[in-house]
Amino acid sequence: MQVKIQLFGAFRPLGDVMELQLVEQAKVSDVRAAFAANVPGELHDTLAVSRFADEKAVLAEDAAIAPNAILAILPPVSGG
Amino acid sequence: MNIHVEVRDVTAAPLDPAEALNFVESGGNGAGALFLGAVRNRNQGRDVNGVSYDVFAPLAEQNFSEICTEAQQKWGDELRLFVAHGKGRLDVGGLSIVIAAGSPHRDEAFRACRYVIEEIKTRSPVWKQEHYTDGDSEWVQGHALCQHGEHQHD
Repeated sequence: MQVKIQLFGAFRPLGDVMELQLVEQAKVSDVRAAFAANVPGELHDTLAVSRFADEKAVLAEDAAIAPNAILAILPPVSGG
Repeated sequence: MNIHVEVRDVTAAPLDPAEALNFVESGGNGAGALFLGAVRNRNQGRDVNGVSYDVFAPLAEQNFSEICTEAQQKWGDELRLFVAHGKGRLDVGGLSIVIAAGSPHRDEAFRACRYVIEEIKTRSPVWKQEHYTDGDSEWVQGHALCQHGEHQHD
């Protein structure tokens, strides 16, 4: 199945959105692994402290992902 | 509705403190507190000439609403709250965030205003990219998001 990941903050240089192909019944942890395989090594430390979210909430690593979901990768935040 | 939250493209329309204070006024509120966040010209020893704000707007606005609701639970339902966060590039001095709290008495207004900005800084999906006078730019090191507000899909 396919998901789209909206990119923010330090991941912006990679574009606005990344599309990933995942196994059926994927979880957030599967998204993380597929995402890691598509980002350069210098962003892996940032990815380790980043979270995946949808428009409603930050997602747990074992949360199930619906096919064609649109998620976001949230690096450490610095608002205000 | 006694809570107003928004993410605004500040390259199109600047944030407006007067709008925030107007929103939190009511006949029963004798106190209003205002917090303004602005781009400063120096950070960690480097000269800054601007900051770009990146925001995941749908989640940020939901998060601002949750934080405001928490403040009302702490300091009373009479509390009126306004939160507007900028998105886009701002020069030095530009307003990045405006928060106002109105309440019957000053203590609740001050405390609520402080609570909202502190929670936004650590919980809301907003990122700063600083632009330096030497032409370099860097994303500011931030706070890793915790489990707060997490949910699992059924």
